[in-house]
Amino acid sequence: MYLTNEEEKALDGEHGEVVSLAMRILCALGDFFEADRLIPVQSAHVSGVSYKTGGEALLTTLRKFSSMKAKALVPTTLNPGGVDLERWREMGVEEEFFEKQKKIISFYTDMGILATCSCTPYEAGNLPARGAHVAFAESSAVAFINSYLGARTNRESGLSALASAITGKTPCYGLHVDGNRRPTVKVKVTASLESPTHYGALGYLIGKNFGDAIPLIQSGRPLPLVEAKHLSSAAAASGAIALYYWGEAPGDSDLEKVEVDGRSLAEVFELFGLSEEPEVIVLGCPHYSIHEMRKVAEMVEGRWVKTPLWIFTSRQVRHLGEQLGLVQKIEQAGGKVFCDTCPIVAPLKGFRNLLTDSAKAAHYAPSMNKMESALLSTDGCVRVALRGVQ
Amino acid sequence: MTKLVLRGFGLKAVRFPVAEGEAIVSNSPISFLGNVDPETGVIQNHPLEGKSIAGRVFVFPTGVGSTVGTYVIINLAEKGLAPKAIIQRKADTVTLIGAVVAGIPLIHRVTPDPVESIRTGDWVRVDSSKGLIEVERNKGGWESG
Repeated sequence: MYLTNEEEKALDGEHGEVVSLAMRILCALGDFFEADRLIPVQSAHVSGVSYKTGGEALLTTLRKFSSMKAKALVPTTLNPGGVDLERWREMGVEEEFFEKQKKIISFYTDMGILATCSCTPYEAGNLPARGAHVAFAESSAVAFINSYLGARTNRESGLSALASAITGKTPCYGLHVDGNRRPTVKVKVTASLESPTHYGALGYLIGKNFGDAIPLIQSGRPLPLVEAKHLSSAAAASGAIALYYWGEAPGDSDLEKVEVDGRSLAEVFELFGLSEEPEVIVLGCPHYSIHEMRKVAEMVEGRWVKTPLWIFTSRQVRHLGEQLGLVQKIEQAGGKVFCDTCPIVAPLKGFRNLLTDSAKAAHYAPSMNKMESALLSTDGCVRVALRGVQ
Repeated sequence: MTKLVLRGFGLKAVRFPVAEGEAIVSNSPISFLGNVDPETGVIQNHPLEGKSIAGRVFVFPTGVGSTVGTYVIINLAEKGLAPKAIIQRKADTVTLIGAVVAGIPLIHRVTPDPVESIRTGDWVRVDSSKGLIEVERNKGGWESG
């Protein structure tokens, strides 16, 4: 990979030890994937925040970066950590875990990274424009900003996104290059997409079957924000989808065509299931938008949930929900609205299984939470919460 | 004993590019977060459930899922439980950065297809500076496979 004089100097340590370390990571990446050069990024989004998923290796890595006085050169946001930083006790999390979590976040904050602690940075001000080059980790956000916003990022590792935050650069290869962004398979959807969860199930199926392809998905239906979040997150969890097109795409002729009918979508729901009644209902993977919160608030208003109902969102959306009285409606009905964390990276203590409206959360629950999981639409989930154990 | 030579594109930014060990081969992709227990190196919720990648040459098609998988690899390395080497049909950033930081030789774009031609239990020697893979099979030889 070609480096400018200035980049050579940065690599050799003239801009400090930590910039040199970040440059070494980016050069290893760029050389391996045969990038021709480094390009500037407008912003970054870093994953690797929860102590549960990052463990001691994450603390050690961040301690190293922090001791070398790392600073983010471009606006950078942060993924969810393992606890709600204000209401962690209600989550049944131990103090030791909380302290380690706080330490991780303070390392990032010291680097000048905004501790947004959300997987939906595009709803918290990190909203890259069409064509903008950025370095995003968080697989669901990668798929969302490439596909829905038309911004450009590869599926960065938490650590390569951090290296880009520090240097303001990323190797130019993969999805930064026009010619690599053309669709590679056409998916014709004849199944009816009745709820955002169905879009999640569709994403799950596409990720599972096409790995890291670039699908052009045609359903004859629109793709609103909430539906796009579910589709993006599931396709990037069961597979490695980083970019898809909805409806139409450049150069879409002569593509292999695959059909998704109602039966194959139903089979995604059937992949999951509980052997006992659900012990907790988990919503907000990806972090709930205000529209989703309003829907749940309206369903539970004046009633009482008989099964614990936990909703995860960004602090920003929670504040808005409080101002609009939505959080109060949900919590007066016995539900809880948590932020800074999510169903996958939080320890979720005290439950043996979960019911969710998120295909991504259902996918990760058996491995990340050692819990059985079932998948239902938001309506279905809230109805079960209100009905309780039969 | 018979020997097979495969060639691919290797990671050069690793201090010790030569490694050898027993192969563990997965036909399906891996999400290091979720599919590999960071405390033990044992595979979970995956067709290879219960098998360990610690100290093995880990062969799999590509990485999928979470972008935090890099830290699972670094955690394994700090406990001495990382794979000796990684061979992928197609490398992904999450696995690659883990290999760079943990100093694990990694080779991808291999001919013939490594997932098809290497079997679990084969003895594999890699040199990632040259993109070279040598495979030895004790039982059955190549004719039966």
